[in-house]
Amino acid sequence: MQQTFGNNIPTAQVLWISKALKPTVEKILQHQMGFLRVRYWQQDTTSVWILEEIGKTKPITIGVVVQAEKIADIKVLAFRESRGWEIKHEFFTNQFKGLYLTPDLHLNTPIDGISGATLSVRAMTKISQLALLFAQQLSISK
Amino acid sequence: MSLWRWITKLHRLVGLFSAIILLMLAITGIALNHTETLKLDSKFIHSTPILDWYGIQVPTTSLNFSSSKYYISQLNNELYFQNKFLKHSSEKLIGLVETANYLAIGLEDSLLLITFTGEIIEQISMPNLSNIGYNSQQQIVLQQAQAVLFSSDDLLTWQLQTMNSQVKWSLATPLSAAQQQLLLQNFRNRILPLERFILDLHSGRLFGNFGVIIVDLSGIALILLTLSGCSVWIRQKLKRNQYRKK
Repeated sequence: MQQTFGNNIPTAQVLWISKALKPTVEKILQHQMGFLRVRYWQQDTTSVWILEEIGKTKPITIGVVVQAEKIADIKVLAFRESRGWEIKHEFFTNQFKGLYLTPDLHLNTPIDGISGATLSVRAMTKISQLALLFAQQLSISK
Repeated sequence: MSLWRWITKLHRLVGLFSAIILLMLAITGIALNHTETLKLDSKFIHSTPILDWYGIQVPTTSLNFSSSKYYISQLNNELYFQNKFLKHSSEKLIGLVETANYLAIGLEDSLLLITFTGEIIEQISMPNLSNIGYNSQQQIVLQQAQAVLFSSDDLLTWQLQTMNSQVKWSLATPLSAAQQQLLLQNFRNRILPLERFILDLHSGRLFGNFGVIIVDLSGIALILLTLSGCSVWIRQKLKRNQYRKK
């Protein structure tokens, strides 16, 4: 958070997932949504999202910084699985930077996978799509 | 008895003997091939005789907290809301507070917010929690390590609570005998996934070593059937060719 906002970390806010938004969220997640609202921190066009998605059996906590509807940074905050930890490294996360959401809800560039970490890669890709979708919602609501 | 006649008889007997097991192997094999589509890993066996057969035991006690209308329980690593499974949680349950809009469930390292119908609203990371309660303004209060915190803005920020005497902490309360029995039954009904049962049926492990040997024998029977079947077919073909030449 400090890396993104410096010492002036904005107050947390919540985005409620409306009934209209729910099918889109579930389309990205490919399973039922396990939450009704998400927490975010926003300053100007930059927003930070901390989201969780199951890799194989345990949730992976990932922080995504979205700037002007493009991913500015993405980091694994907590990895609880025994395999697939390679997604924590910058050689992998760097490929998300600058990506945006296409109208069909995909990232504009496909993500190169890591053998043995398929499910973790999938979880990180879903979270990046979700963060971009939620950031879009903030722009729409304005 | 000639060798060929003996092989034909063996083929028939082995076929009859192994038909039931092969049928069972085929059906369970097809089911296991489509575990995700059939959602076998998220369906559970409820049959008491089968659960007894597996020797499945449940803990005799649970950790429970209640508000005026609602109660939450923890058994092993599972949380139950009104006796219905809510979610897995390795964090220890520390309390329950009811607000006008939602229920706040205190866990060791987080605060879980749910609706009155048991839908998860949000799980907020809050490390080292030991107590949850509410103050005289009906605001949620948390004890985090040595600090006592309260929130006045829908849990977005936390401030130090100075008048600790005004806090009413959530305390563990036992369930009634009927509720406890229902909880244990519901917990027991979530232990054995259908996938595990079908897998054990497929490998024969459901019946212990005896079952494994029977499934192994049916495998050997299938090899014998293939060999005897091929030899019978080859012999008939040779005979037919000889007859045509004559």
